[in-house]
Amino acid sequence: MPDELEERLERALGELGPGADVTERARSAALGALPPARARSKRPLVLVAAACAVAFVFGGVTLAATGGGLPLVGDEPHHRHPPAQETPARHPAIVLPRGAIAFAAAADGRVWLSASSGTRLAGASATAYELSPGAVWSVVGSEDTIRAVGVQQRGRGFVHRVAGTPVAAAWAPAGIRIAYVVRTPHGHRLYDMYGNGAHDFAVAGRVAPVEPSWRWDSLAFAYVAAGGRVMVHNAIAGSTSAVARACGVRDAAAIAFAPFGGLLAIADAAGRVEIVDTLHRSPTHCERGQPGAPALAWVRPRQVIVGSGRAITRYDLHGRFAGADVTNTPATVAGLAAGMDGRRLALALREADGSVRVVEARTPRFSEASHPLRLYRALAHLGRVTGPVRLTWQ
Amino acid sequence: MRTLGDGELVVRARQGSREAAGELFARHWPGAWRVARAVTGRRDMADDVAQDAFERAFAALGRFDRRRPFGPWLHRIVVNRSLDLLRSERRLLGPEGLERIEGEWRDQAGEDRELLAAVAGLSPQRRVVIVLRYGLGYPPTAIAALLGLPVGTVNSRLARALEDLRRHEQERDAGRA
Repeated sequence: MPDELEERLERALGELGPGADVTERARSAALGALPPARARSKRPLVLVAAACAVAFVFGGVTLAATGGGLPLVGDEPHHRHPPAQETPARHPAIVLPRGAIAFAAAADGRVWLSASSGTRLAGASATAYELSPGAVWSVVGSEDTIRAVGVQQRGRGFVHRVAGTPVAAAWAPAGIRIAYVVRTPHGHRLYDMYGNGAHDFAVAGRVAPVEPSWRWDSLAFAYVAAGGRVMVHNAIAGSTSAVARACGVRDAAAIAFAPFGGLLAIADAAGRVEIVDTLHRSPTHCERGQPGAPALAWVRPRQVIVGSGRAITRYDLHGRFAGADVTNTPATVAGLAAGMDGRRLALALREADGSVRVVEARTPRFSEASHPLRLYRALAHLGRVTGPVRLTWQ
Repeated sequence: MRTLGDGELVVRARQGSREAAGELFARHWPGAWRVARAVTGRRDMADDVAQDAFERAFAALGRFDRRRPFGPWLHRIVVNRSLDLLRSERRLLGPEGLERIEGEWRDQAGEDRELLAAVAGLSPQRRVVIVLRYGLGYPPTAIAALLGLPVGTVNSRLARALEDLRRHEQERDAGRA
């Protein structure tokens, strides 16, 4: 028979209840997660079988007529795709920066690409775009699909149906996983899958449309939850951690893991920058830069550059030159990427009329704050672009 | 109209019935949220955990064995997600963050406020069994099955948790006196 304490526990715990808005939101999200309905009738299967038979016959005839020149169809869900260079150029091409094997710019649903293999894209349609490590492959988002397309050579890719429109994708440094964000009627959702397009995992049902960032060891990645809070998801264990808010960053707009270790740079549109060690209890660095949509690029394991407004700020977390240096830019920074050795930068600069040009510049050295940014050359003119420009340098 | 059991609702939800899935949600959402809230001790975290658990459960309905009860399966997901999140918060937020977590119980009104604060102060393992036993009414054998623990371990944790809570109450009364 329950004593008084147990009765009080039942009463107190039983009175806990969720808010109505939370309930409605959770209900929508849960119903949205339902798997597609199972087919009740065998009729569609019959139709599919008949279509396959027709395709097989006509495909054989066509193959015979073309000397076997058509791409092969592989096991579901993998398909072979033509390499990216066959996309017709409707916009000016982009130039490959010095030392890069591939360079891409993505903005407003379009993508520009230049690779050492000769692959070119110029304003091709893509809701999300990401190069694989080594730029062997790229993933291209469109409507409700993510495709893998060969960059360095022709090869078998995959087509993966997703639960919305892909808006951001991040390939793990080891190439084994891809984290991606899709836009759905219920908000943005985050998934990750194997690098071959198999085994989708739902990670979070409410996220911000910010590109995830993988840790160097490919075991975890950071993302921004719907409330603007930064989370770190362990892709192996499936667990998720919240990153402490130590610098007043309320609505993270850009995140980037360092190329080695657990340092994670977080920036918001108000100019606040937080650099936190997610693996150790090292002190968190709080910085303040110019307001504006931020872009992040690590140039060393402990040096990160933040571009926002009309400046780029280089933060050094240790060493003789520890501190921050600000270098002004000739226009508003709309995108930023660093070369593999960290000595060169690619900057997307938005002019007052909204047009964006991509330039290659020297990474500013410390104590060069008073010097103007040294520009090497223009890489592309993207025309009028309203959103952020995502630059990828491989 | 006949009230359908959870198993039948699961079957219909698998076949694409949003009404059936909605009914499952309506039945189990308050309990799932209560578990998440009581285990994590935080309203915002409970919102995320409970929603995430439901999304995972619904996404995995195709693999669910309909002969087994739906509620304990869902509550197990909620408990595991809550503990995962607490562990990671402890690592990332440090002791200051945990103090903040426990402090949020103070928004509870009435005489049970301090009791809930005491529950939040229990270790996560003891908190879980208390919540499942008194928040959802599971008997110890069901809790043992749900958590994959021996019944003796569950009974032991329950007894020690109640002992902790009684001690807390006595100390509080002594302090007032």
